[in-house]
This record gives sequence, C-alpha cells and structure tokens, in this order.
Amino acid sequence: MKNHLLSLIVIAVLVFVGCKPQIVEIDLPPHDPALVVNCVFSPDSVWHAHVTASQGIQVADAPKAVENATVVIFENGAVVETLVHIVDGIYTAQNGTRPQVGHTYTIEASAPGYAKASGTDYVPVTVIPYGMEWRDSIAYNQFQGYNGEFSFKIDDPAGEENFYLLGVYQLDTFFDGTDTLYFVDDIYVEAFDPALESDFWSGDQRFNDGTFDGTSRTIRVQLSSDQHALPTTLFFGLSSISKSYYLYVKSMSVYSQNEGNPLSEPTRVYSNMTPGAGIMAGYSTVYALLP
Amino acid sequence: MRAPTIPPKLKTPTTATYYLLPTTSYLLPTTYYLLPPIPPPKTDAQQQTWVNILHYLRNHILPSFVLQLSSSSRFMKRIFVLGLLILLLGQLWAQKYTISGFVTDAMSGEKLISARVFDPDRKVGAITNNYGFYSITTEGGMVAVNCSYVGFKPFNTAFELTGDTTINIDLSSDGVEMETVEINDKKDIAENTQMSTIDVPIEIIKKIPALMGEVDVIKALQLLPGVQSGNEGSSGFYVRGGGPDQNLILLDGVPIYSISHLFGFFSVFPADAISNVSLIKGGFPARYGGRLSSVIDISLKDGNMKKWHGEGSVGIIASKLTVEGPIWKDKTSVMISARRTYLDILAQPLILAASKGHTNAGYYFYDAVGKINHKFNDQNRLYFSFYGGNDQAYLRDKQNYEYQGDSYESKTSFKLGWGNKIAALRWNHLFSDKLFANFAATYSTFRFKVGIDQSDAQTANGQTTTNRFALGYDSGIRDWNARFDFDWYAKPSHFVRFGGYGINHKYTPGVSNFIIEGPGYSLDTILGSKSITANEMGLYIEDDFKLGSRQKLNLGLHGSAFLVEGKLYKSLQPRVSYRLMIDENWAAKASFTTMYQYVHLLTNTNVGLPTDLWVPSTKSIKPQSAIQGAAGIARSFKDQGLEFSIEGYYKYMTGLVEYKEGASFIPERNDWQEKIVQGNGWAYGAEFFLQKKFGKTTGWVGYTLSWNKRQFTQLNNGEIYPYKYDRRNDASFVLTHEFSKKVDVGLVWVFGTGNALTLPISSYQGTILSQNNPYGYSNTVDQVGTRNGYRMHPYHRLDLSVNLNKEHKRWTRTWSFSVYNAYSRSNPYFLFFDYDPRTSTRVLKQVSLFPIIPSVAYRFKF
Repeated sequence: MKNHLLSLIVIAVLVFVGCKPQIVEIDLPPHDPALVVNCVFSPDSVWHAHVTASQGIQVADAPKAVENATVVIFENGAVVETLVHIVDGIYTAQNGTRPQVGHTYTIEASAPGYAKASGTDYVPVTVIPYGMEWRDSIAYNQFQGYNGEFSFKIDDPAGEENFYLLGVYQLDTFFDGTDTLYFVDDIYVEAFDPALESDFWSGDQRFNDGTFDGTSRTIRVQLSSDQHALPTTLFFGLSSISKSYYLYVKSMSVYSQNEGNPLSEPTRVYSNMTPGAGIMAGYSTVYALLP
Repeated sequence: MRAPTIPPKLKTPTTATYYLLPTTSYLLPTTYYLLPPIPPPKTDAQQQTWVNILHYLRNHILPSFVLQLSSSSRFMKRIFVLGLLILLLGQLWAQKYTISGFVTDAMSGEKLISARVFDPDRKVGAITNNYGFYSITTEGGMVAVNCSYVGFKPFNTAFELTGDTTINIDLSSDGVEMETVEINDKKDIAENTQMSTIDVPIEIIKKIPALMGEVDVIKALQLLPGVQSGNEGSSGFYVRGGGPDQNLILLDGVPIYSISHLFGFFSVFPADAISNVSLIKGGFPARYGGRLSSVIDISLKDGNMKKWHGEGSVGIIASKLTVEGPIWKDKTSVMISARRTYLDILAQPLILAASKGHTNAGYYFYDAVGKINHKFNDQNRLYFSFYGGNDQAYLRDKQNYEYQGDSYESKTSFKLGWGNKIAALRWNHLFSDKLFANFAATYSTFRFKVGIDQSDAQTANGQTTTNRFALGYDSGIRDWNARFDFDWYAKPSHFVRFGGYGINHKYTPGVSNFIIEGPGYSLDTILGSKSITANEMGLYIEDDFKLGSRQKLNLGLHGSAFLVEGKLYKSLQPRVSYRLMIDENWAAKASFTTMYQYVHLLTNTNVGLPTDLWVPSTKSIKPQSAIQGAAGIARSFKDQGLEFSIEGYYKYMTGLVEYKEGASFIPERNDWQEKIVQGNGWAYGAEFFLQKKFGKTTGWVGYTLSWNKRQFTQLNNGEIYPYKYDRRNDASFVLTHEFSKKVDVGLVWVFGTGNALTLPISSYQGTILSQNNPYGYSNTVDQVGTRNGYRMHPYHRLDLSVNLNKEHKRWTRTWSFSVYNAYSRSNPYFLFFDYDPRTSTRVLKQVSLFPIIPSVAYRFKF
C-alpha cells in the first residue's frame, strides 16, 4: 500500500506539472477603418473637432489622425461652418463661429477611403449655480489632510431630464524663475450626496436630476488636498451637458475603471456618431473662483 | 323473488361475499346482476375510501330507494333503477383491488426508484416513486405481477387477487449477468408520459473516464443532449438555453445552490453515496417548481439494511470513503460518505521551504454526506440526511526583522472559502394502499467568504505601534423549507400527485467589512447590500391518466407565491404532457409547461467563480418566467436494450438578469439592484439521443442542434445577441464495455461549437473634456464588438479509461487508469490580449487549461 501511495504522489506531482496552461496566438478578424469624430462643443469656444481613424485591435500605436477630411457643421440642414484642419487631425472654425445655447447641430465628416460619419447634438440651457459657500480647515485627518467643505445651489428646470458636470479644482501657482504662473490642479473631493454618482473623485463628476427634478437643490462636497494645506482659491465650474455627453462621460468613466479588470463586464463607450465611433456633444458652463 | 344464481364463470374460491341486486328482466338480458365482491369496510378511520362509501350506498340507500319506487309507476321505476345501475355498475361491476408495496434491493434493503411493476396480461402497471413505493389497482381474479429493474433478477408471480394485497418485492442482483437481465427496463422511454427526461444509471457514471480520476455526476450529465457545459473542466451546466441559476438541483429533495468545488472543476456530489440521478429538461411535472430550465433529482443511498459495506478510493487529488450498514437490522440503517483533497498537504512542505518558513498556503475541499433511515413499520419510515462541503484557500505569512535598532513584525492572512450545508428530515407515511405521503423539513445554505487581514507592528524604545488593514466580503443564501407530497393511486387509469410547500429565504447579496486601525485612529465600516428575507409558498396537483389504451396525459397545475419587501408575486403554472403509443415500441410525445422563478443568480460573463450572487426578486426586480413547448418521438428497441428519442423544443424566457455593462460583483455604494438589467431570452433546437443502458456494452450518442438568444434593452444597443453558451452543435459519444469481470473500458468523445464572447474589435481615439484637459485628449479606447459576437475555437476532446477489477475473498479492488484529453487538443479556456514587443502589436492569445492528463485511482469495496 505504501508503494501505491508513493506512486500516486509521484503521478500527482507529474500531473500538476503537466497542467501548466498552454498559450497560443489566435488570429484576429480584419478591421475596416472608420472615421472617429470627437466634437465636444460649447458657446465658450469656437467650433472644433478631432478626426482620427479607428484601427484594428492588434495595432498598439496611437490612432492615426485623418488630415484630409471635410468636416461641416449644419443647423437645420444649413451649413453653419466648414472646419479646417490645423494639426494632428484637429479641425477648427475658420470664421470663428461658436455654438449657441439651445441650438441643435449636426456634424458630418468625410474623407477618401472612409464612409461618411455624422452625429447630432445640442447645447443645453445653462443652469446658474448660486449660494456658493467655501469653508476650509474643518479638521485634520491622517488620511485626507486638511478638509474643507464647499456647497452651492441650483434650480433644476422642471419636466425634463437635465445632466450636469461638476468640476472643483484648486488654483495653484508655479514660479518659473521669472513670473508666477497660475494653473488649475486636481483636488480630492468626497461627497455622500445621493445625487452625485461617486463618493470620491478628483476632476469632474457627473450627475443628473433624477432625484430632484424641478426643485432647488443644494449640493455639498468635502475637499481635501494632497498639498500641505488647502488651497486658498477654488476654481469651480458647473456644466449643463446634453444627454449624449452624459452617457459618453459615464461610459468612459466605467471603461477607465474596468480597464484590465477580468472580473468586470465588457464596457462599450457610448457613441452618437453613425457609423464609426466618437461623440458629438454639447454643453454650457458657468465658472467661478472662490473666494 | 327468485333465488339468486351465480354464473359459473364468475365463481371464484374467494371468501368475500357477492352482493346481488334483483331487478326485472326486460331492460337487461339477465334477471340478476352480479355485483363483484366488495371487501368489508376497514375499521381504521384513516383507511376509509370510496369502497366504504359504496358499502353504505348499497346496504342502506339503494334498498330504500328500490322499496320506495315499488309504489311508483313501472316505467319510472325502471328508468330510475337503470340510472342507478349505470352509475353504480361503472364503479362496482369491475370491482378492483389494489396491489401495493415497496421494491427494494434484497442484498441491501435499499429502495429501488423507478422500478417497473406490471401485469403483462392486463397491461397495467406502475413505476416506483422516489421511496420505492408502487400501487396498482386492477380487477380481481388471476393476476401476474412482474417486477424488473436494470441489473436485478426480475421478479414474477401470479396469484388469485381477491382483496387489497401488499407485496413487498426484494429484487436480487446476485449472480445476474447483465446480458441476461430482463429487457423490460424501468421507465421504458416509449411508455413513459414524461418526455425530456433522462435517467443515467450511477454504475455507468462510475465507468466513464473522469478528470483526474474523480467520478463526477454533473460531468456525466453534461454529456447528455440538451445540456451544455460551461468552460473547460467546469461543473456548470446550461440546459436548453437556460442560465446556471435555472437548474433545480435536488439532493434528497433539498435544493443545493452551488455545485462546484475547485472553481468548478469538480462537483460536490460524491458518486459513491448516490443511488439515483434523474434529469428533467422539459415537460416538467407540476410537483416541481421554482426554476425555469431543468430539474436534477439526485437521491442518496439509504444505507444497507442487511450488512455493513463500504467503498472508497485513493486518487491523485482526493480520497474518499463511504460506509453503510444496519444499526438495527431491517429497521435502521446509516450511510456516511466523506471526501477530502490533499493538494495542500502535498504542497505545504514545498511552500514552507521556498519561503524559509514564513509562508503557509494551501487549498483544499471536502464533502461529508450522510443519511439515517428508520423503518417503524410498513406504513411509517423516517429519514434524516445531511450534506456539508467547503472549499478553502488560505495564505498566512509572518515576517520579523530589525532595522536601525527597531524591530518590525508583518503579518498577512488571506482566506477564501465557500460551501453548502443542507439537512433534511423526512417522514414517509402510507395512509392506505393507494395513498402515500411524504412530509419534509429541510435546511439549505450557501456561503461565500473572502478576507484579507494585514498588520504591521513596529517596536521602538519598548513601545509598539501597530497599523492594521482588513477587508472582508461575505455573500450567501439560506433556506428553511417545509413541504408535503401525496401520491394517490386513485384508479388504474389515474395517478394523482398533490402537495405544497413553504420556504423562508434569506439572501445576503454581498457585504464588505472594511477596517483600518492605527495609533489614534480607527475606521470600521460596512459596504454593500442589506440582507433580504422572503417567503415562498406553493401548491400543486397533477394527474397522470390514461385515455384509452394508447394515450396518456399528464395534466398539472403549480401555483406559487413569493412575498418580499411587502410585494407579493403570484403565478399559476399549467403543465401538460401527452403521449401516444403509435405501436408497441414507438411513441409520439408533446408537452407544454410554464415555469416561474423568484431567485436570480448574478454571474459575471467572463468567469465562473463562487462570487456569483444569489439574489431574490424584489419590488423592482421581477421574477423570471418561461414557457416551453416540446414534441418528439421515442422508441424502445427492447431486444437490443436500446432507447432512441428525437425532440424539438422552443423556450421563451422573461425576467432574465444580467449585470449592466461595466458592472461587477465588487460592492460599491450602489445596491446590487442598480447594477443589473432584465431582459428576455429564446432557445430552440432539436435533440437526438440513442442510449444503451445495460449489457456488456453501454453508453449513448447524443447530439443537439440549438439556438440561444438574449435581448436586453440596455445591453448591445437593445439588439438581440447570442447567449454566451449558444452552441449550434453539441455532440457526445459515451461508451463503456466490459470485456470480463476483471476488465472494463470507457470512452468519451465530445464536440461543441466554440463559446461566444465579447471582444474588442478595434481601437480609436477617445476624448474627455475637463477643466485641466481643455483639448479633450484621452487615451485610446477599445471599441467593444457585438455582445458575444466572437466565437472561440470549437471544443473537442477524447477521454479513455481502463478499470482493472480483482475480487478478493472479502473485498474487491479496482485500479482505474484514465486519460483526459487523449489527443491533447488545445481547447480554449479564456482569451486575453497581450503585447508583442517584436512586432509592436497587440496579439490575442488563447489559454488552454488541460493538455493530455493521465490519472490513476485506486478503488476498493468491501
């Protein structure tokens, strides 16, 4: 029996050594490149769009810019602006025209060798925040440094879906040896407000009016800095964004979080361009510096 | 009044009394009508049946009516008497008696499920139920009773039936050669009303080649048509387009929620402890409910009532032992079976040596299953059965070191575990020879836990400061269930089953405990979803009845209700199965069923881990439902011992759940209900099955052609897409052959269309505009293709086995050699993208888990 057991142990070891997974390469299906148009527009800037080409999944390089495209903006079928190529696939309005709040626009891009791509979106009406308050240094926390609290109010338009993008940053300075330069830097935000879609973030955070449609709502967030102290000046922006923009930002956020995570479902980034990929999205923003 | 005469042909030596009803002669050809004997009323109030009612009618009501009518007109009197006769003669003329009893294995006293008891001359018979009970009602006179069960000598007897009779049949397998066994098998596929049902004898399952020598019931079921396996080596299975949660897996009548060990490579059912396995894929009888796609009814051995026996095995990864025997001969028996792996024990010295004693890690799983049954008398029997199984992976690491005069200690502990526990207490009671009852109280639970605990301590100047971080995750489900089931053999042509149940569920769909501790600070918080309690209840009735000599119908109704969070869901689920015997061997069958399911399994489409969450229907999450229609033909080749069937089916499912795009089981601020979406599914196809159950050569050929689709408004742009386990072609060939008592061989070959999965098909430039990213540049985005739009390579595999048996005086042993994946096919397990620095491109790679795997197991029986 001892011999039998010894034999089994030897075989077991051999089997598990033999169980090393085999890895082989698999052929990928061919891909026909398509135009990818990213055009995120607001009344604050002239029309611009970024036109690139999609590529097969096996290509590891950055997507190639399409520099010979014809990119036209329409409103109600009439040409508003024909964009011209500047650099690296970036097209901009040669006449300096800007989108207008409440208007709906269509972008069409075409280039030799690609199918024409188009998408439509609008600029939502700006919702003005008010009652902004900024209280710093609530307490010192081992994990989060110095805390502060920022709040503001909005009057959400009733009877329609509204989408927002909240940005809270610190205005920082940099001395280049000659001048003091100002720049916008991330700040860590913590919020347990159910209206917001995340508890912790830095940069921009999206939310919608699903829980407070048509009412006045106070949004309250806590801030902390990775600096030694909280900033003296906050840079605050509240964008009213279209539904397409909201869906794009939301899906992009999930995509980024799950990149490389085998335990998550595959994520499809939203697109309203047909065919191909990319986004045509409108927004309007109110900025403020505090205090 | 003339003296009664008894026609000679009806004279019998019975001592029962014949009752004669006088009437006039011109309506009917004879003067006296002979009423067959009725047994005297039984004294036990519980055994009052319609026979007693007939006694009362005949002795008290009928004479008084006849007397009262004597003064009425002759015409009216004749009409009334004729009417009464028509009513009563149907019941009384063909006076019937009941033959009932239990069928057991003479050697062990083990009940024999689905044994066939029949009278070949009168063409009446019955199949034993899950407790080995049968009941046949037939006319008095000479009867022949035959009983057959595969692997046993048939039992034949003939006698004069003059009253209700109990015949307990002990079938013997002693000295039976398989080729000489009576061909009248249990549950003849053509005769049975039930369609889409397959029984696989456990002895065949034990002869099939097994991965690493571990005999696996579920892997054997995966080889049947209409059943698809998940990934390579996985115990998951998908029946007629349904999900893994849509299978009602009953172990001794108790639902079991997770059937996987070692991340799905082995199932939890120890084959040595099992007496019967039955799979129902459609045409569900009304007694089953709560799942949409299949019922797998697994019965544990009762335990030998006669002698102590045991069997066991020593394999590459696990050993097991099963012991059974009488505690009180012919009254009380016990069966206990246990299995444990020893990967951890083998690996521990290597791990300790490699880590210089700092680290201890391992993985193991175990099962323990048992059953006690006590026979009080022929009418009462009590069973207690239990199962407990667990998987555990662990890592413990402890390191001490010194740095600049301070001492440091770092400790890490990681645990991952999951398992089921079930228990059942059942009481069988025979109310009469026609009414069998089972009362049961059961408990079932499944838990999954994972946790990591890490601490770092620094001792300086005699003072120790400790920082600790701990994260735990816990999910599970718990059921308390009470049910009653009655089998009522109402008439020769009617077999009625009815019953009811109530279940208290408690769902824990993922809770995380997060702890951070250090000098001057402490955080202990819980994230995740709250537990939900729900109550489910149901009633059912079904009647399996004959329509003439060729047709049978099983009509049933299952009603259920589910109360959760103050919301009550109700359903009525009609079930119909129909069989037409075209001739003695050919049968045409059809069925229509509706099913409801109040529980859902949230499972990630990329992996099959115990992280899958069982969740209930809630206020916002609706129950699943399905309608299924099936039709087919079946034939028994009795001389060759073959069975053949072809079935087509169509199933439509609603209320299916999937995770939203990008969601995962990891607890977040959002409740699980916000992570899922509900949609619909379709499955249709055809199944071909040819099986040989006994003889020296056994096995089957199965083939399934099927389509399996899903549609969710919020997935795949709302467009229809193939289910992950949509498999156009699925084939299996299973063969076992016994060259002699010393040598038998097995062969399995399987083929399946590759699994569907979602892959990125291209990449493109994304954009995110923010205050510090004014140009909107973003990383490259992979564009995901159509959901499940990519197919892995087809799966095929050949397994071989040889069993060398040797009988000793008191025991037998078997050396079992098997080869899994004999031609070392690289079957896809999963795909991933990698970067190839030589070409500066991304490449898609396929991981294949199992090359050719030889294994050996040593089995013994005493």
